[in-house]
Amino acid sequence: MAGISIELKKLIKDRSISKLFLALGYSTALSSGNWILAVGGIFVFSLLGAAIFGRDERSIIYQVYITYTVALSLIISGPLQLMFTRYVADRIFEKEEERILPNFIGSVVLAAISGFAVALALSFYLFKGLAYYYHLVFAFTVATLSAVWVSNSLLAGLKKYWYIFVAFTLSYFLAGVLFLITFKQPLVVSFFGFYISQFILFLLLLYRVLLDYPSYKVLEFDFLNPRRSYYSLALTGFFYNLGVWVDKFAFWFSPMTGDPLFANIRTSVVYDIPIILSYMSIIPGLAVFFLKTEAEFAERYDEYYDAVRNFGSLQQLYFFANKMILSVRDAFYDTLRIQLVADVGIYFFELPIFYLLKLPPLYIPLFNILLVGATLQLLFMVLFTLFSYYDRKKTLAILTGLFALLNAILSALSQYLGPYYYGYGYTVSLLIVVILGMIILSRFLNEIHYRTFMIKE
Amino acid sequence: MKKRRYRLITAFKYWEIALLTASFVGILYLLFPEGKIEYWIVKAEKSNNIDLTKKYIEALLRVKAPTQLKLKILEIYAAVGTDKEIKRIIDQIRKKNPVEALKLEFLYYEGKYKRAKYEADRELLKRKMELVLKEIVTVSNNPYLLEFAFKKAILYGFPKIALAAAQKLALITGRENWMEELFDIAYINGRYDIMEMYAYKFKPTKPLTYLAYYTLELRKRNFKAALYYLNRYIALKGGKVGVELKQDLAVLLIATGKINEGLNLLRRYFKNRQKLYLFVMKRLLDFGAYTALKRFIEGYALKVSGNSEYYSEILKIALATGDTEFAHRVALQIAKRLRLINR
Repeated sequence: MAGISIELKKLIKDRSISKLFLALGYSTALSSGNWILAVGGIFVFSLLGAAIFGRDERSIIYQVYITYTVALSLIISGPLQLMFTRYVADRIFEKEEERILPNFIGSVVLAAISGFAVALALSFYLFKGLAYYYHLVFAFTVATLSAVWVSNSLLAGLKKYWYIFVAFTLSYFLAGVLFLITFKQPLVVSFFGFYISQFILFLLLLYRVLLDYPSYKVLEFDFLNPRRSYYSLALTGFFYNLGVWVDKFAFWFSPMTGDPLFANIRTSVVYDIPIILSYMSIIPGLAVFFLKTEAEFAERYDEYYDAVRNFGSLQQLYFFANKMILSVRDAFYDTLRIQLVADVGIYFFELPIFYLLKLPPLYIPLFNILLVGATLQLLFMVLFTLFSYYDRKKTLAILTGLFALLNAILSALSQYLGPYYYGYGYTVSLLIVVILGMIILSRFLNEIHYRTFMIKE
Repeated sequence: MKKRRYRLITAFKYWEIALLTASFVGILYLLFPEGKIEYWIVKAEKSNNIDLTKKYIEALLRVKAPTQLKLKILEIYAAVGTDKEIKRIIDQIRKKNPVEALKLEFLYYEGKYKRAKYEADRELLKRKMELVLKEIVTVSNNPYLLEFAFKKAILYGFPKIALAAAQKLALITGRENWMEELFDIAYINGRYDIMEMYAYKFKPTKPLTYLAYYTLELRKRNFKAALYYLNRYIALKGGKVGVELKQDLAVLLIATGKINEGLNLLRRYFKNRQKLYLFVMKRLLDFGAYTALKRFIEGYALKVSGNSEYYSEILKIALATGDTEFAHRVALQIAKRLRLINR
């Protein structure tokens, strides 16, 4: 953690524009590099495949298949990601580092087994009528990806961003190459190729954990002990990932907006492209958010809690608390400001961009709404991070639960109301939770001393 | 000062939260895509994602569907879809607006009709168009749709449908222009019963209406009125009418007693008097102007000398009046003229 923070702070303190951009680039790579790589890599290699071997549906099926495995594995492993990361943080704090590896193996096994079971059950519907190996490859891929997300969140929680970035780069490059090699083979071979790349990614992440946290024990499930773990974090992880994906499922599985693509795997010609583009559009905001939380807020946070731990004077406590609150404001508003600038730029140039990407301009109305939604999701991520710092587990569970519930209900409602309302389900649900989050955070910070000294959630 | 030192900053003031909420709500309101989606659908003449366009249109049809958009869907389906798909879409529209669906069905067939290469296909499509228009006129009471049906019926030569549409329009709207249209179409269709119903309920504005009135009055043997309307018709046409009508005008003059005036007008068309008189007599007979005819035969036709053929024609015309006494009188005069008898 310190390494990243120090490096970013050094770059910012230089106060030159080039260094600032370097800091932003650094933040971009660390905050969103792996998923940009994943999405971008698969997209580029799919295009390459289509260009080399001729256009067919194969590239699209491949991309959609990956989306399904990622979505499903994120939701399944969601409960473990936060809960286990917190468990590890507590073990490090309590100097019980030898328990990290066996519990990591335990959480990975649990994530993989649940991923395999759920995916296999779902595969009977998704791959109905197809040979058994489609079911198996799908189930194994979801299991492996579930393990990858648990490993990824552990390493991200431990701020091993560069390692994650490099591991993702290698594995997704491999996935792309394997896709090209298997392009003329049956689809299941390409799916298997993706599975291999993800298994290697898992091995790379596992290697790092083995290297950093050696232990004599192999397997342990201590992280499931209710007295040593926080199940509210499991709920938060599940709700957040469900909330992020539920609108996509609504659009895929609605007969009005989705169509079957391969067996029972469905896609939405209306929703998929605009949502991907809107997510890509928040990269500038993500970079600033990462920079602001990792380099500035984290420092202010440490200053305040150092003062608390070191019995600082009341004046010092107020001084550091106010500095921290200001950095909360900065993190929130600077992220919003930069993202809004990017949004306005995109809004004015979206038509040529769409033409350049050879995308129909009919996507633009929905894209604009989803862009606002993605901006709000970015703000929600800022609030999520801040609440995580303050250990507001119940608040996080309530907010993410509300987000998932609202997104599900409003997205379904938007389907019923018709195409003018597409995207509003996702966006309005985020607007509600962001506003609610701001109110709760503001009230919490207003009572920061009282809550720090008197209340333990 | 001391008090301020021990005060925490409010992270997000309520007015800030309210402003942020209002701003996002305002942005979302401004981005509401009603009209924008339709704009891009219609504008994207050759969309590079036909599935997307189809998906949006089908979704829009469930909630709202401007006609332009409905036409677009038919265009798209006509280009890429099968007749089955088109039928499905039309059925979908029919659930909400059955008559509008008929209009679209007609336009779809019309588009195909215009693009059809073979006469047999065109005939088949024309038949389908006729059936659809007929259905519109039967089921719809919407003036716009009836007007649409009326115009298309005129364009493609379905006079009976045009008549039915005009009749409904005249009844529904009570507007004089539709009565006039109806009157004219009834005239084209030879429906004098309908013409009788609507005659003199509106002020004629079109030359065709004057012609229709002329025909109607002529049928009723109101020769003065017929003369008036024919005169107005020829005047409105700037004299650019067929010879037959000009000749009929002259005959009507004769029928109304202006014999010399009528004969003067007719002289240019005939080489000799016998032929001229024979023509006048035949037309007066056609018009049913028996009084004028008898007067003309006795006063003019029998006054000129002619060959036996000429007299034979006069006798036939006299007999055709149905007045045997008059025919007998004419026969005696002819016999005298031909010196067959001395008395």
